[in-house]
Amino acid sequence: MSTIGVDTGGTFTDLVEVRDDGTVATAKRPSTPPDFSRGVIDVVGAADGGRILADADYFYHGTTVATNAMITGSGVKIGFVTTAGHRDVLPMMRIIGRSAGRSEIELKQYSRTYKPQPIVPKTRIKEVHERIDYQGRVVVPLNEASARQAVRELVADGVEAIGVCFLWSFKNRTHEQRMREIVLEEAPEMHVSISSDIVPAMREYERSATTAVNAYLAPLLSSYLHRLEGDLQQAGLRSSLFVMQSLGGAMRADDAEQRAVNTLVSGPAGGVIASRYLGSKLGHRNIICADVGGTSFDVALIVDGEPIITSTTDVNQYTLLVPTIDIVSIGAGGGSIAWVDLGRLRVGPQSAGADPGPACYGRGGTEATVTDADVVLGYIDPSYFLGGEIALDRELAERAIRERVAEPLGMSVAEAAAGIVEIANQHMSDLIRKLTIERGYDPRDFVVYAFGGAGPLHGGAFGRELGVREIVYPLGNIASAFSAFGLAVSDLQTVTQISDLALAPFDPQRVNEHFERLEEEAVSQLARGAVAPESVTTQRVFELRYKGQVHQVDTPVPAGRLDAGALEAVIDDFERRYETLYGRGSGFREAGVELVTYRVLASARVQDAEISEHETGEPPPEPTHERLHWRELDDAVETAIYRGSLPPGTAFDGPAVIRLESTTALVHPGQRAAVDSYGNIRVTTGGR
Amino acid sequence: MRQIDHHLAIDDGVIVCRRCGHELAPADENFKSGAVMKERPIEQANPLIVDPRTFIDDRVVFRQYYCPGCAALLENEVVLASTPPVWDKQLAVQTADAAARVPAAAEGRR
Amino acid sequence: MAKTILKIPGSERYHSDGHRPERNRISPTLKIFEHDPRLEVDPITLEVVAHKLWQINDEQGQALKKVSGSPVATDANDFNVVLCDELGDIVNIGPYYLPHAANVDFMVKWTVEHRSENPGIHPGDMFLCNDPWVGALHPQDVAVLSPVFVGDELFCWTGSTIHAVDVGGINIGSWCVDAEEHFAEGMAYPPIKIVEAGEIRRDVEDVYLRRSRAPALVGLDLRAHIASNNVAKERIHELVGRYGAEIVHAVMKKQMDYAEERFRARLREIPDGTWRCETYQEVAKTGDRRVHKTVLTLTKEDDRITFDFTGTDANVGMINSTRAGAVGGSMVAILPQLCFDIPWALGGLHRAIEFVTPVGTIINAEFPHGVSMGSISGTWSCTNAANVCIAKMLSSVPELQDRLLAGCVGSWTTVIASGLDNNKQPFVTMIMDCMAGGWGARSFADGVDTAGLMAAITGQCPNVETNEGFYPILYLYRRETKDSGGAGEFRGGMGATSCWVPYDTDGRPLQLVLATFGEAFPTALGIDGGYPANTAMYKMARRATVADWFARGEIPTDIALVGGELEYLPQKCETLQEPGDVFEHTWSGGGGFGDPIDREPERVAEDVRNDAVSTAAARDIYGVVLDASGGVDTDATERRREAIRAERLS
Repeated sequence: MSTIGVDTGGTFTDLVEVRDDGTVATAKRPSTPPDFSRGVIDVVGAADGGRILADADYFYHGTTVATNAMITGSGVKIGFVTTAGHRDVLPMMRIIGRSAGRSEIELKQYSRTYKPQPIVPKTRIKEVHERIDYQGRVVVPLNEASARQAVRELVADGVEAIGVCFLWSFKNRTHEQRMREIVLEEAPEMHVSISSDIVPAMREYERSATTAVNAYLAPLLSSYLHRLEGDLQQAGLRSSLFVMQSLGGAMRADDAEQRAVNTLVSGPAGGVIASRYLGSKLGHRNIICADVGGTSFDVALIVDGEPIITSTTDVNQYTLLVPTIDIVSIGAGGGSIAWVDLGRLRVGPQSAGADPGPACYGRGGTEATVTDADVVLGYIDPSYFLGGEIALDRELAERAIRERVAEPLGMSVAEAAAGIVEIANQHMSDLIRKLTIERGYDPRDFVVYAFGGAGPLHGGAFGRELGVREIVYPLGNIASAFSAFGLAVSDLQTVTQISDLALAPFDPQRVNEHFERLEEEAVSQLARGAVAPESVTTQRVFELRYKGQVHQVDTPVPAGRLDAGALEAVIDDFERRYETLYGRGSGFREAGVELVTYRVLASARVQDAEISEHETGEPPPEPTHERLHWRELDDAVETAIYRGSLPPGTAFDGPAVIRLESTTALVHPGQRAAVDSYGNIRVTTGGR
Repeated sequence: MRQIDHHLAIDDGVIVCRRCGHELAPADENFKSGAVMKERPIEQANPLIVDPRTFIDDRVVFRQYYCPGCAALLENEVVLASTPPVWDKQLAVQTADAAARVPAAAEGRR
Repeated sequence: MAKTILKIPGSERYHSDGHRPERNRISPTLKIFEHDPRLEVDPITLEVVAHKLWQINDEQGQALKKVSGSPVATDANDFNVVLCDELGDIVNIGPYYLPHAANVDFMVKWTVEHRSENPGIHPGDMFLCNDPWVGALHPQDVAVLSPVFVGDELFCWTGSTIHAVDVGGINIGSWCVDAEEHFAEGMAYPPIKIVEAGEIRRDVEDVYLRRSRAPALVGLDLRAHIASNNVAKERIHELVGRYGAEIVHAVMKKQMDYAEERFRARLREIPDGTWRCETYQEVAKTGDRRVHKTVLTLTKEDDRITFDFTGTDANVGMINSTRAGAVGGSMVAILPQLCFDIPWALGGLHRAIEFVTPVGTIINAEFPHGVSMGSISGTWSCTNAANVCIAKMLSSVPELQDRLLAGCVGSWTTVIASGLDNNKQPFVTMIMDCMAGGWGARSFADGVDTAGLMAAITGQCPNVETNEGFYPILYLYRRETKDSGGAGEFRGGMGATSCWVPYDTDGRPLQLVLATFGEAFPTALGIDGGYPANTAMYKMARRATVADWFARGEIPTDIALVGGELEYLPQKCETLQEPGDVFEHTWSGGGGFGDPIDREPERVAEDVRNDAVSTAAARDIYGVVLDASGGVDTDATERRREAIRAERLS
């Protein structure tokens, strides 16, 4: 019996199987765009397919099908329906569509900034006469003739799905619900996404974008999942297929029709869930999750055992009201290009990307990248990169660094390479610090989990710079497939929410009614996924703000029936959280506290995959030695080199390099590494 | 030839149309002196403009400058009627050496 | 408007021109940090510390934005944060409202010169300043300046600035359309010590807040100022603790040197020459009907550039800026077009730029002329002129022409509203819809529709639901404005239009203050044959028939359909919107690039399908004739374009 997680990434598809004896097996195969399902079947085959599928109680899948469709503009042809006078909500994008998710460096280049290609052109956005006011009262009833006319025009235009977002529909759903009936009367097979179902929350641009994106992706994602589920079941899978959501929990493949938009940023979520799981074993409550890949660098925070959730997320410059693990992409990983300008050494923001990639890939890249520096310094063994899957050319790396950096600066190649790595590590630590501080926390109260192909290579340095207590390269070699591991240990989850503005003091009866309804809705959604209602746990959240302000703070609300005193305590908590985020004295109760949105997060643990501890008693392997350059010593010194997985109990002082099958881990001078009973490489640091 | 803008260049001391080669003016004069000019009511500058007398007493006009050779619209002006043609683009050609006039010689622009 | 405004003797003392303070004007009691000039910083440490300094600024901006409750700060990003060296030269500015960039260094420099003796500048102090002559754009732009000491030596400054919703004066929002003299406006405070030894001075805070119609919001902004400066100060101390004061100080200087060197290299890529622009604001205050010009002569010579505003009209009404505004307004056009890949270390950039700003003009007013609209009048007209001159200059450089933007968002279409909000509490607010301005066309692509402002890298236009949730209004429509983007081979970006009726006001009117320019003629200009954008527009349909429409089950989506009496409201006015009145305002798009009849006809047809261009404009301006299905009629289009050419040369 086992649980399987399969994570489709841009380059590789990873599989992790957690067996009920607590052992973990992995497999890796290239991803196969545009039909990603082949890569999934391939990786299952590579892992002794028939046997693992027959053994599997649960099959969890992280897919980028929806994300890819957004990036390549290959969703279905949709139509959209709005309140008369407000057709341009989506095209205007509240102007933030020009900048959302873009870096300051990109945005300073005005002539190079754009809004994204529209997912629905103005010609397929239809206005319908209807109007609801801010209190949910009907100002103009839904004009059925104009509604039907709109649908007929869209159907004649050949749309495959229709999204609907009327103003204030979260206060009064009747017009949108009637609109859906009219669509289905006119076109019974049409996919319809209405905003009051997808996300009944205030802010019509974000609600429209979420609804339109869902309509754009749902037909695509749900047909992909149905096909994949069929193929897997044919190959012997008994369980149903579950899909990862950006919130960090899974849903049934069948639910993707209504909630396709929820999978959009699920890719990096697996690593965060894996970190939370492992953190609970290791007693780590506050974790900086750093996923460093070849072309990406994603960071998220776990605080007090739970990932920080954000209520909006930017995808392809659209701002979506999708509760998401707050994962920030803050750099280009190993592909960042180093360059010299007027005697200064700069790293990034340009990236060599996957193609041509770093010079050492030998695909024609001539720029010096961070990966090239890692190779030149001897940290990465060119013959052993990704377990030998890609042979690297050290000569090319050295030439790039010599020509692009060392000679212009009058340095040795080793000094230049060490400088590049130092700057890259410092930038990473600055950016991690930035996002930690922005969320109101001090990085020194955290441990770092560094995973992904290049995480263990850089985590030791940026972790030390951040002043954290400990750096963990999780599960040793599995660090590079940590996201897939996260899928295998995830829960089923759903979120329900509704906006209903109110000024404090809040009416307990209204609050109780809202939460009871949201919880009921959430439990019944999960129950459809064959979960016993009593195994569902729920968390309540208010999105609160000071009146007149735009920034909202998520504040937990206790379970059960609430009275005025309990609600007063929630407001006190809000004020404490507000001051944590924005500093002492920043609270401004005189302005009044406003409740914007009620949210319920429901989870159910359906599988019981657990990893086990091992005490092998194996003697630690004997390292070989190489002379490697370390910037902190400003010198090359004898460095221990370990190869392959290390048995629990192994411990040694840096400097050392551990060359695992699919990643390389560094232990810096002054750091100490110890392998624990789960196979985690745990690095402690005395600071500088 | 050295580019002045999208339409114009300086060729051997003369401002010429890059499309038709028409010579508009010596390089040290305003190209507008050799262009065809039409002064139009400000309402023709954009379809949404309403009668300016609704708001102001001064007269603002829309002037258009065309290449006499190919009729290309070279530049527009939104100016008080009393304002003479604005010398909006004046490259310092007199002081540049001959090499600077050849765009292929990249160092010429230094 | 024949009123004579006499110069106040002694007021020159407050005229800051941004010069670096002379050491002999600084009290010897103020010790100033200097690093050893022989200190070498290795290229790696230099890059690492420079990045950390950038990040401190970024953290400061985040802190400010989150604490401020004002939509002006949170939506328009009408604030900025700045790191200055010990005497005020700017090391870094935040990516927010750019005209403030020129604002903080003026004020720091003045403070160092005039406050070091009395009351003294000490660790833990902060100074508040909103005096336009000292360096604010207008009295609403309030700055807080914080000296940072290492030991007992002045090491550097952090500063923040926020547009406060109301700081007093005779019209709401402190946009004093009825004034032509500063004394009727929000009070200008030269730098005053608001925080002393780490404690806020309640007496000073009271003096400041007492003037405001929105003291709660303005008080919150003040906390945001203080909190954000504290964040920056603390982080600078950490950095000094880690790398040493000598290194950190040296990196600040090197960052400015680097920016200067890169900027001079950029200027050398551009041929020497002169570019000129004459642009206008009309209506200097309520009742005025004149046009007032800003004249810019831009001269680029080797690695220097001069912005000379000689020829600009005399100061008048309330549409004037001070020198800080002229410099800041020009920087708005300089930074994104010339410094798109150069650190915005203005202290370095300024060494290669000269600004000539004649005193007593609408771009550098003499005290006590009215300046309440400074940030969006004189300052904005400087941006418009510099935008176009720089774009034309870049048009001469094959390698840089893809960095130009034709004229962006020709004016800010101010709407200040006050009344009772949906909780029946009094409010005064600036409606931020006109953040959604159109950007000018590029040399290779159309301008971005509803893109934002040139003056703010990012920003947002509020949701209709957000506005209807706070304020007693109901929108009939908000949309991109057809034909608002200037025509051209590449079209300017569209601006937009909002229209609302008062709603749930219990019969009370809304009070509106309006202030813009560019309503009689366009001010976002095209270049190289591109047409200008639309004009800004305020319309009111008095006693309209919206209720009848609603009763019929329809929503009128054009003010021309609502009946009543249609008024075009002037560029500066205060008015009431009664419950039956429909108010519409339209703001500027961007100018075009190149000759419209060179535009690919298929692009014009697509613009018509997408309501970006009217059929009439397609025919008249672009020379594109469409068939019944909306496709291009190729033959008719060719004939039409020939006719246009013929008319041009007729």
